[in-house]
Amino acid sequence: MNLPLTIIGGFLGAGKTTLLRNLLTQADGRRIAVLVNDFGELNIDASLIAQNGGDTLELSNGCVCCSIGDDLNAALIQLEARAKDFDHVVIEASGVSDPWKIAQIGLINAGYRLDGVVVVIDASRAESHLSNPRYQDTLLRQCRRADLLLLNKIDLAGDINLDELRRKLLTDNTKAHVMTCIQGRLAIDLLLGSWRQQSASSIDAWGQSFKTDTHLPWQSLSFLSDRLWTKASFSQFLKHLPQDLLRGKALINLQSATRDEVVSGSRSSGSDGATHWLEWHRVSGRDTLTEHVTASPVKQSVLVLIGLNLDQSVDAQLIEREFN
Amino acid sequence: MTTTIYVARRVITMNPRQPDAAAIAVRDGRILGVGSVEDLQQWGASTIDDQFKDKVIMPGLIEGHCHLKEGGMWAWTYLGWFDRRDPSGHVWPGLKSMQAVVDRLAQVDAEMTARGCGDEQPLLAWGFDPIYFGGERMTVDHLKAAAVARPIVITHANGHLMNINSAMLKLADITSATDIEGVVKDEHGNPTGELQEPTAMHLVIRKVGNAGLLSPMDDQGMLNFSAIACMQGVTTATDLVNDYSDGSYDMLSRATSREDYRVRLFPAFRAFHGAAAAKQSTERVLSLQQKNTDKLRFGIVKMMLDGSIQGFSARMRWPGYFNGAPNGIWVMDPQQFESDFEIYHRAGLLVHTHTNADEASEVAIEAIERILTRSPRPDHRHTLQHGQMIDAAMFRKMAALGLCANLFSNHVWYWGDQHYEMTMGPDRANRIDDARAALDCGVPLAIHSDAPVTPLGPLFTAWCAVNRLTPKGRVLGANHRISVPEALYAITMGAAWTLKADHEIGSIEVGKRADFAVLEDDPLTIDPLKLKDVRVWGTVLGGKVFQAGK
Repeated sequence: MNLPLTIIGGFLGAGKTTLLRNLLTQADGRRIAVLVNDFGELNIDASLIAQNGGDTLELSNGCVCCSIGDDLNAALIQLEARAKDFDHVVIEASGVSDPWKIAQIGLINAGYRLDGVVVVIDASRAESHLSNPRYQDTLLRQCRRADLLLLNKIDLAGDINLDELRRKLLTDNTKAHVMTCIQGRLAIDLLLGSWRQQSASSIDAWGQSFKTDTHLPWQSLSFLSDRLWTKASFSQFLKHLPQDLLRGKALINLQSATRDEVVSGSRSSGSDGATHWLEWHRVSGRDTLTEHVTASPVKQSVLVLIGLNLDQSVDAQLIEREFN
Repeated sequence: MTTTIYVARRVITMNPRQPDAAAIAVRDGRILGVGSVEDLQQWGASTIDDQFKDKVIMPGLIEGHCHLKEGGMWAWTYLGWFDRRDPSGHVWPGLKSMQAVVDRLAQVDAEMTARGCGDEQPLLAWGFDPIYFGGERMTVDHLKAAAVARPIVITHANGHLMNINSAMLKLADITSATDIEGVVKDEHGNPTGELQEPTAMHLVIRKVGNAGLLSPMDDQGMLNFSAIACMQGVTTATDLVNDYSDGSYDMLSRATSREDYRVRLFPAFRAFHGAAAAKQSTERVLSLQQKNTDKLRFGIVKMMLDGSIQGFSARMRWPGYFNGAPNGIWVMDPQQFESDFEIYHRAGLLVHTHTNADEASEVAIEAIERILTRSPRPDHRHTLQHGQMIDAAMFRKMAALGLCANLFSNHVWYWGDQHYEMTMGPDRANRIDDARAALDCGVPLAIHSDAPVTPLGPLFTAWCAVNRLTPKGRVLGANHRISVPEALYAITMGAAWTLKADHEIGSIEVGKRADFAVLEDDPLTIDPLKLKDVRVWGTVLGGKVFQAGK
């Protein structure tokens, strides 16, 4: 099974390292492997370090930092061999590299599955980078294939016009999501998608957490469903969701593929009692659907949507109707 | 305490106060005297060695920018367009057509089968460069005639591209459904076997391991390098990107501590992507410096700002690439470059910076000017490497700052036509690798091959700087040529200066190391157009005589 892969790009000083430190220290049960150029700069609290192996730093919360060295391919191959130890892999792209070049590793079924490309921007310096011919093309190249543009340091950006900045940065990119933040503080769930140790015992609480988690006016909507789903019908349903959704997550009980069970309307249980279920994530506009054959973590299918001004962009009645 | 007096047809000393001599006296691996036999005999008991009496002796040649991989490629099949000599002295003829490439692969496949290598063992090849085939690209169809069952992996000369055959496509699971940049496809959407990006190449590497340029160095490669150096009259060479790891140190130390190792090595610490923080790296460099020997010298720091010009990844100033290609990439952030450079500089280290195109050179020069203003340091000898598009104004500034240039003169021959027609256009191609301007502006000059990118051979490199000829017969900027004596100085004393070793090597003077290139022909009297054909008999390193190929 391919490991979810997130690439974090952005210029020197944009806040990538701070963002990564936040990720690692607030992993909240996720076992994240972070590949960085220099983990000395991460400045991880010594009390969190379980083992320092020179090129790797094992943290007591199950996360690991690995140094990329001079060969990212080699580092990825090594990590692939330890795939079962991790839920998610995050690569920090160097300040001037194009994160999309690395991200494509996640599109070739070579041990990794692309979860998202995040580009961190220092909002207080972006305008000066855009007007400097030595930096402009590099910055625009980074933004070209971003799934999520994170405008960091907005507290230092004075009265810049964020819409204008967003327009300039995303000239060649119509699908990127944009979020603002301070000191790289962003809920981990907005940054990373699926993870394999999904407990989801309280998926609704997960949605609620966004109301207290941040300085921004998040809204979350939850829906429950007793309907019998197939992967196809759920994919069809997804078309009803608005494009500017920041994050979505669902655990869907699937009906059996066999005719008998469809007719009888029974839940799809194999002889071993396992259930077929589907896990859905939308992170930064990118959908991931994964089928599981284990005991389902939820009885009813559940859907949570998170975004800004959801009440304006989401027709809750339509979704309620279609989901149920 | 034995003294040997070598008698020669001519000794070219590179010491302008005594340019010529008849003989050299050597004691304890060092030069005891230079002059007439009678003068030298006044040092007391000595042996006259006249094995070089018909040969020309000059200082051992110094390659200031190459990589040990020059010796590490020969376990794989060479597919280059130019002739290339392997460590045994065998010259592999350049392959001038796609058919010739396929024929050589077919032959190697048959040899592998005859040796009992099963079809699962891949055939790895290197040095291929389709830029010389007038736009024709290699595809899996070409390679059908080379091998059917055996996977073939061909690394291009620049190390950034690959071609593979159908068997390898299958092994790597690359199909029409593989939808990423860098997997080249034909008009029907099927992969052609050309892979253009690290991500695409990753699919191959994870199946067959690092191949060609990407593979790690080994002990045999170290010995091969020594053999190649001797054949080219080289007694000192850099390894301009080295990780300074314990493993690399052990390998370098094992090789250079051999009595029969034929070359002094100056590895340079890789201080760009993937390197640890500059402060810790400085400590590493300084600690390895403590282990320096006469044949193994640590202490140079290598930084890198941009990519390559023919790969369109170098950073170019206005008016940019001649064919309209977008500007290249920064390998290192200019700000990071400046702050890291300053740390190495303050630690007293010598920094060599890769800057191919002129925007990168300009960024380096401006950054170093600020650093030198903040923390002046006499005699730093920081060097710009490649510097292929540096113009006279930049050279004047470099002279004012005390910067040195090590120019990539081999480019004039290897890619000069492509620069003229595609990358730079006539004006800038005519002043590519402008050794003339460097010298006129007073910039200390070395010239290089960047082997294995082009073959090791300082006399060939000198020929390029002297004649500026291209394969299509152009003289690329006649006014930018330098003289033969100037070129010979660049491949001896010039390079020694950039390594801070000019007090030890680079000329034949009393007290210096007895490192000589022994030549069959006289480079100062031969037709300058034949400078590249000067025959090398072998070398003397620290007073030890090594015949090439023996």
